[in-house]
Amino acid sequence: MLCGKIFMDITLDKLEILWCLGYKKQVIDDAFESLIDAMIEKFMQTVNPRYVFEIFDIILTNHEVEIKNCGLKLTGKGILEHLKNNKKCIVLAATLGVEVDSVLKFLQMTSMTQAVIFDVCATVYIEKVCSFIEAELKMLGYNMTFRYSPGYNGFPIENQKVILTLVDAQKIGLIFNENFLLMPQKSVTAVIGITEFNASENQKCVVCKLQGN
Amino acid sequence: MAFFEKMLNGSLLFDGAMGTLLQKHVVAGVMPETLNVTCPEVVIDLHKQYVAAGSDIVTANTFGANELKLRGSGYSVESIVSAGVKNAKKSGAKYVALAIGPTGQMLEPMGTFKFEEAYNLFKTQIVAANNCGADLVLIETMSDLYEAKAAILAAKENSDLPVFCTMTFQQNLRTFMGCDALTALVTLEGLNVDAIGVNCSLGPKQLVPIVEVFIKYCKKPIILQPNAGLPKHNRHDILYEVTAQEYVQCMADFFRKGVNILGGCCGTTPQYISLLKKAITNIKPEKRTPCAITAASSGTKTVVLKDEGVYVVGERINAVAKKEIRDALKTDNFTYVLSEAVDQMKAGADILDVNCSLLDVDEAKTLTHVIKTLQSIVDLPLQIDSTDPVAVEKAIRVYNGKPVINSVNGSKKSMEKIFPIAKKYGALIVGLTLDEQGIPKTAKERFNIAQKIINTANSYDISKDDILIDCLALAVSAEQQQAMETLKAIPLVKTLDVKTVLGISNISFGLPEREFLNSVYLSVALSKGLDVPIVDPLSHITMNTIKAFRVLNNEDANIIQYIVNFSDVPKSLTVETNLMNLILEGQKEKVAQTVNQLLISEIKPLDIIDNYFTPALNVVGEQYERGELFLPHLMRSAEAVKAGFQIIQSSMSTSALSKGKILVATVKGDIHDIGKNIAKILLETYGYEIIDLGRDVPPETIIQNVKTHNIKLVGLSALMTTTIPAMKETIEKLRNENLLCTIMVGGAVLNNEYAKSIGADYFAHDALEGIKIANQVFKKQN
Repeated sequence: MLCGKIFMDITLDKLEILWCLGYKKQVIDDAFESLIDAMIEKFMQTVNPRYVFEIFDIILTNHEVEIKNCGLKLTGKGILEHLKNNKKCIVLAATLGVEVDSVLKFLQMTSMTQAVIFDVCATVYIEKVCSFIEAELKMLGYNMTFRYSPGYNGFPIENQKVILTLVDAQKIGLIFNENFLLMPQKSVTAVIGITEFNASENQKCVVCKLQGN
Repeated sequence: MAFFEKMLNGSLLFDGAMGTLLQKHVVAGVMPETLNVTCPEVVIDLHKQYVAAGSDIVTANTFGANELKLRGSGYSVESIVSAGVKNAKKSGAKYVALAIGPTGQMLEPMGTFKFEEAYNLFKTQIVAANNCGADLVLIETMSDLYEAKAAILAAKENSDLPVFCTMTFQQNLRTFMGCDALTALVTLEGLNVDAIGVNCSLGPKQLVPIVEVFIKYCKKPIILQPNAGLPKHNRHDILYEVTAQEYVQCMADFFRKGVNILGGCCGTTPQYISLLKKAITNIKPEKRTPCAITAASSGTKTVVLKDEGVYVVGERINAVAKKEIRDALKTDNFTYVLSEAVDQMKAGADILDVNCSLLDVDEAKTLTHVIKTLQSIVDLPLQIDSTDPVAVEKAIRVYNGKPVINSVNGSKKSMEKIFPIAKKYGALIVGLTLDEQGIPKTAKERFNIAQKIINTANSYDISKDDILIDCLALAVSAEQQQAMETLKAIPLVKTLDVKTVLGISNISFGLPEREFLNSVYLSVALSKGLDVPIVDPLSHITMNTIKAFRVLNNEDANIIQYIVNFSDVPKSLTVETNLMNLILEGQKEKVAQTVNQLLISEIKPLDIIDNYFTPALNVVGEQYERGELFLPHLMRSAEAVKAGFQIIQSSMSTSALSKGKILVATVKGDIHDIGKNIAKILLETYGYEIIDLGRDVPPETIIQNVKTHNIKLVGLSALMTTTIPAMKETIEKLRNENLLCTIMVGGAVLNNEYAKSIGADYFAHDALEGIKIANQVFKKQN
């Protein structure tokens, strides 16, 4: 198991935040620009990111992906398809910490404008955390498929339980509730196949509505 | 009992890691606790190794043995817990601790698990351990103080065993839930835990700043069981960075400073314990003299009332004194109560008083709900203000942290009711200087009652550090000769070495220009040594008096706060009349000022709405739809209009302004509510009255509210595909009740066809569309 929490080099760029907010070169006044700056700063002071991942040997059956040497299985047509060429997979879990949820809740009370910007900061940041982990893995020499998360088509959300158990996510303060929603809310889990083949062959999403993207 | 003697005056040595060592004997996904039944010999062997290493206490392998985690394992809580304790006893250890770990769920308000649900889970574990022969309960590896409280209450209410509690911290010196060491300490001490400390977390060296807080302030024995540092990984195994020698060196130092209950957590082995035993055998620990503090806390923040400081209790959430709060509570408008809390916090309040005494309303129920709601947003400690002991107990039970109770008085009956509650849960207590004979006329008599309160508290083992005395300010219009008598009592009471509190606003009751009287009275009271004034933090003159006093009192060191505060004040604000532009630019404060000016110049509120608000919003909306503006722009203008609306609402009733009532909710099972909240604020700016039921709302609650508020339009939101069935169920149930309401739905995974297929009348792809739908629905009806 590998886990960590230092992301010194992850920063947020104003333009990225703007794009995610739906910016299409509209006129941005100074007040608005400084609001974005202030929200990025507030977010960076608040975020408390942590992650954990582990590599497992897998066996594919007709109906499920069995994790070798333990009684746990990932289910769903999508995950079977996703890992069809793989003998190993990476299970990862990352969270930005409950502080982000808490500030977001507060901002929704006091200023929805700020809340909307802060929310986007969180979305962009968690994506960067995941990309950071992937980059680390690539540096270790793994050839990988894309990230596939429970809740997407073909990978039922109930798989959160298995995923969080596999990586003992409670260690990073990440848990799921009775509806299999992750808590803290700004968290991601994903399964990545480790492939012997050229990764690019496996990069296209073939199972969900984003097919072809 | 030898155990207590060792705990209080000697030392106790726990074992080291259990779970991580046992994990090697089970495959991933199988709980190591099941080994208690399947392979007891493995568990007993590990316990024995620790006993041989010198552990006085071994911890039964019961950490995760709760009903939820064991679900589907084929084992009951009783079987795992009793086997676990039995195995531990077989090791020959002097004492056996029943280990209780976190539930694995996140409690409300950040999560969805209820406090009482957590209590019941813990209760089952405690009850299962009764009669098995455990010597103590060890509640450990807690990140959430609130969850720890549930476990402590479950342990104390269902067994007579001593209760130890340890929290786990991260490198930022807070728990995963944001709780710092002092807050944990203050709260756990209040709950009468027998030994308090830290486990797991980090290596002993990294815990120094946390342990120092405990050494400085903790009146109970301190327990410390760190990890052997942080785990490092290679491709096959987890290795811990701190060697046994380094570990022991650091731990021995803590022992010398008075941390007398030691042990280990992840990464430590019998070897660590054996070395630790040897190291501490010849050390004579220093005698600790913990600093006395008067402190109240929330779940993440502690306010220490220092001798040299002035601390503000905000008085605005008071159903007796404020009609707006009464109305809000009667109509379940908790958003209003929350906004009062946020405003007071921003204005500089340190603690918020909460009074929900209403005729015809179940005070305990309302107070409990308000306390929970406030704690979901505001991190200030709260002051539970009630004369009903039942309401006080129910509220303090669900409170996260150590609150203030307002109040007890010198009558026997009051003290008999309130002190046991304060002792059980831990609280600061406001003691009013009145008794069976009423409010005394002289300062000396008030002093006497204060002394009686302090002495009686002492007989309940409540320290005077936890008492705040209120010398009672009375309306000067009715009791003019009493105003100074109250103030004379303050320095007298302070000779008893307690802090004083005073409800300043009472003084001006029934008189004009109350703020002037209040601020003068406040100034004099502060000069007499008043520590905690209860005031309206939104009164500038009051807060400025306090800020000025902090300078004169030498509390605001180098006058920094004062200068920063007053250098920001804008010079005479010119009111711009172009309200439209201000809304388009999203200038909240200026919009509010301008609306105020327009009202003063007798422009009718409805004209402001029709001539400024609506056209400005329409312009913004159109620009947004054309892509000339984007979402934050839209929200900014909406907030500006909302600020204007609030000014108008203070001069006109909400119902007279309302275009119609809309109920909004995120459906059961879904906790993503930002979309719903965006829709809500936009609907509000168009003049709709919103009943917001929040997130994760069961169909039954929605139906009940549709009936109570006679709702014609319901807006449901869901973000996840997995919660669309809950949306469908909610719609079906609403239809089955034959309620004449229109239903619109929204959410990222929905579309028009999908919305129709689950029975909705409308699909709103964004908040602006929601407004169009609302306009259409209410136009039809009017």
